[in-house]
Amino acid sequence: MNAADFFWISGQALVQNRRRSLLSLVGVVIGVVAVTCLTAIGEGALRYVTDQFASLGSSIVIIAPGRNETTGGMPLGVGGIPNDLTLADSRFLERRIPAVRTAIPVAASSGKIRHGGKSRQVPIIGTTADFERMQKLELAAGTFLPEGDPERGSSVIVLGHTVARELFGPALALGQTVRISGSRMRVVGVLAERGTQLGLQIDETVFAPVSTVMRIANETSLTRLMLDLQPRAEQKRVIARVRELLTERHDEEDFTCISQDAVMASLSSILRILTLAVAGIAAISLAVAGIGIMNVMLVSVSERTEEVGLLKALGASRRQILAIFLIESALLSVAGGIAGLGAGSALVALGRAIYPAVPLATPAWAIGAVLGLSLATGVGFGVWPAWRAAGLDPVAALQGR
Amino acid sequence: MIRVEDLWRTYVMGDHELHALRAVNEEIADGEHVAIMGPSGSGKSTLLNVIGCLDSPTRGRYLLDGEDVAGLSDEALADIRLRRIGFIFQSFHLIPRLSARENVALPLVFAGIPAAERRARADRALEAVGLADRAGHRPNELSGGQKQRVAIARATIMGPRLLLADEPTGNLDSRSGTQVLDVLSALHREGRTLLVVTHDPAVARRADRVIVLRDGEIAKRVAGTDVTDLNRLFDFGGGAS
Ligand SMILES: Nc1ncnc2c1ncn2[C@@H]1O[C@H](COP(=O)(O)OP(=O)(O)O)[C@@H](O)[C@H]1O
Ligand SMILES: [Mg+2]
Repeated sequence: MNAADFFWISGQALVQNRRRSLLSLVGVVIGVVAVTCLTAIGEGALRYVTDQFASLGSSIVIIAPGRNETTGGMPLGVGGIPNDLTLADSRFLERRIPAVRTAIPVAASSGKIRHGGKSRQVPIIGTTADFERMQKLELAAGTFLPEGDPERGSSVIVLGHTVARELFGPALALGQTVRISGSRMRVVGVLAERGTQLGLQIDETVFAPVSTVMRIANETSLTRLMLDLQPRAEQKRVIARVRELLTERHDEEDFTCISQDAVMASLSSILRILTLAVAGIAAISLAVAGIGIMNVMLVSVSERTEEVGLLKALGASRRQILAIFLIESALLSVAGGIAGLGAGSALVALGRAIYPAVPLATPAWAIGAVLGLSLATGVGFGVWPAWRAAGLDPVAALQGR
Repeated sequence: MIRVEDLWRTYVMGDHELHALRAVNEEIADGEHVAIMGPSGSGKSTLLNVIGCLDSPTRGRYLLDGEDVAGLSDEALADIRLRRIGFIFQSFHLIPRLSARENVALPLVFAGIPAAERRARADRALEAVGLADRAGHRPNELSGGQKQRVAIARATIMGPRLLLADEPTGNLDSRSGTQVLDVLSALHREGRTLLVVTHDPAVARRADRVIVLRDGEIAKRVAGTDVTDLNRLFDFGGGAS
């Protein structure tokens, strides 16, 4: 008896009981749709994050003041208070490392911004003109921060879209004066609506020259130093060079380097684990579906008791009967798997049409896994019914007992 | 050749035992046509099932062509049923979703014969029982006699030397019964051993000899031509039936 014949016999029986076969498929279909959709969402999130990083265009290394203790250096305090990360460091690294196109200092703070009778608590980002290019900011009106020496902090400010609307309404903000933490600043630009990017609510943020913000916040250290690298620069090598130069300059390694690659890698791995976890939970529903298949197969075996007896009388061996029923349940579950993949893909396509921003897509591994799982479900849960069929006593079976 | 020695088949029902066969000794030579008769419940089907390797005796020996089947594996027994024995049942046992041709070809499937050859052989077997034009029909589109002839085609498709028929005409009117018996007689004339369980004296009269069972024991052995009416045949001198 060859494989095609097994499929023929098993398939015949399924087609005969079309309605019952279809019903038993529903469970598998639901499980597979769940896996397909959930992994598509996970993969979509991953691609979304990747795209966001890619949208920055350039390759960035970030330096933060203070030693990251997780790497196991000396505890803070033993080596003294870390040195400030200064604008001088920024200029120094930009000059000394050729792979660094621009060093963009960032001083983050927050404060109350006022105009007329209105006020609002906002994050304040102190930076330079280069920040606009690096973050690909778009202006609705005016210009971003002026070019020139970052040490010379002028009293100008750029408002995020929401901030401008709340303080000025539809009126023109450009050229107006706002007060922020006691200082008077002139609005030189308003950003176009943007939404969230890498965790920063750009629409709700205001931007001012870095030294201005440091002065207002009474800060001596930068919050971050972002090194915008030449297109083909290797982040690892730049980081090594930064460590070397800055450690020498500060007499100790009192800063932390984060590469964009590393951030993305850890974000990706978190998202992958999350995706796997939800896919795993969805896969449990396949086990439930398996019980449905088992039930249907048990009914099928008891309905076809006579037929099993006949097949045995005609010369079918135990093993052949076992195979016939196992293939039958495997066919059921794999058909359910394929139908579920179809339905799931349709849902994913629909989701993509509705939320084009998130690139939903079921990853190839999930498709393979879900088909493999449904096959395993059919075979696994088909064993008991098939075993029962194979073990039937032919004489009793022929009499329908 | 079939040889049974001190054959018992005992069913344990709760705390008492029911002997469907008790101490049966019999030898059937190749090419014989033997009828098995006896009142209902006398053990006819049980004997046929043991001989057909569908059932195994509780005690005693069954030698098929000199080989004791007791020690054989499930695979080996299945293979004997497949290649050496053809079964014909009172209720036909055709699979309703399969065409006549597919029903006939089923044993060929288990023998691993390719589809094209199966089809050709099934068609020839159907032709031999006069049903060439019904090959594509489903069982529910066939008369009782036609169904039984399809079942005979199926029983013979692997070319077994031994045919076992359990009341083959029990569900048929006399005309289609006669047709079926003619087919069986023809198969016997080709040299096959034929064992027929029957209630019908007309069926038994075609046999070379008749074994009469009573309560699981062989009560009489008579020649086929001696079978006249059942009352005489089943009168075992005890007076009861
Ligand atoms: N599976 C079984 N369990 C218990 N008793 C059985 C079983 N099969 C048959 N018998 C009994 O064995 C006896 C012989 O049965 P059977 O061979 O079918 O008789 P026949 O074919 O002559 O009518 C009967 O008394 C029947 O009730
Ligand atoms: Mg019987």
